[in-house]
Amino acid sequence: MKMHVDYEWLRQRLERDVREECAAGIPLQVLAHIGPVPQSLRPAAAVSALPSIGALGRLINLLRRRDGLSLDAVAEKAQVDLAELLRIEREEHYKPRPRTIVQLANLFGVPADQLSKIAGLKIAEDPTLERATLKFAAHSEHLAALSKPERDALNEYLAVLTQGKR
Amino acid sequence: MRSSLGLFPLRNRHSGAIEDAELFVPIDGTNLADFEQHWKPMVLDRLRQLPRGTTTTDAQLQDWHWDWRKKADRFADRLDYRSFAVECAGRTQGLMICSLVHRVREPSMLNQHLVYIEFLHSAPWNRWQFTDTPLYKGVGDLLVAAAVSLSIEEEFEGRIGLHSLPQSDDWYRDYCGMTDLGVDSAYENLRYFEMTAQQAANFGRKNPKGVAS
Repeated sequence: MKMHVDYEWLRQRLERDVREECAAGIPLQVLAHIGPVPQSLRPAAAVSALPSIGALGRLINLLRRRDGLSLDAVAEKAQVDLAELLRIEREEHYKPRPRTIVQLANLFGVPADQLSKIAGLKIAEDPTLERATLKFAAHSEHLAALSKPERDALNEYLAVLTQGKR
Repeated sequence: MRSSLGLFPLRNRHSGAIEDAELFVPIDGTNLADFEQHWKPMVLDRLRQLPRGTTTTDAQLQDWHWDWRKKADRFADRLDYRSFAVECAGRTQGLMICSLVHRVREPSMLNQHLVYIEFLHSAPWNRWQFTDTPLYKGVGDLLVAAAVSLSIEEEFEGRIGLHSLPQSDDWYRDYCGMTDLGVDSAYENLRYFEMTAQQAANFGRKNPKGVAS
């Protein structure tokens, strides 16, 4: 769907001196009292995601270097925020937005579903993927160019990711 | 799959600055985690501060028949429900769930389709009810605009309906220009409002006449 108002429309509305009280339908107090959001609806990081070992950042870093792309180029091609891309590569515990993961998955030809699991956004119920992620994170290093071991590790990990999707 | 409907401005009341928020459809696990971890504790803290007898009772809770689990499948992009989330500064600032199966009550367009807002909420830290210094302004405008846009996309001509909570009656009637169809005894005695196609056109217009800036 598309929005039938634009940025300027809302900016103009914000200029009006109106006390915003917009609550409608079921009261927030009721929603807050009713049982917890079930685990099946929560992102995996809040439950039992893959171990937070920086695998996502390393994978994106290697894929980017494999394709000879700068951070700027990836941000532009994938239409993702450069600052967020930097955080993905550099912060082990950073959890990116789902949209960013989908955009990066599309750019690098990796299954978005699997990438979401590595990012901790979806529950990973796949011991093969978990083992592969641990192994990959343990063996890959941030180097300027991909060494042969790095390339092998990347290719092996990509094979598991793709296989997991089938 | 969740998708972005674009960037829109919110007013940071603390700094006075405009900040970009992103509107998403549908609500996803990240938004529900925000609800669980950030919204809910603030709401419950506030309720604990209220005098005895003014908090929501167990009996009242039962009246609503709400269950996250039962509604879960509706967060996905099904034909009869749509959900929206507003995110800004890394947090969920607003949530809305709409149904497409309700019909117009207003006599001139009786029984025509509309988008019914099952619930619409700004985060508690944005609301006067929960804090004396609410943070973001504009979440309600954005979510109502999303409901109107959905209605247009569904060829309902912008018609929407909702049950307003008491503190919001004036906002929907006077600021959004919706028709007040009175107290609905079948829905917790909340007032029921509808926006006609013409009212929706006025709502979406820039600098509408008759509304003070």
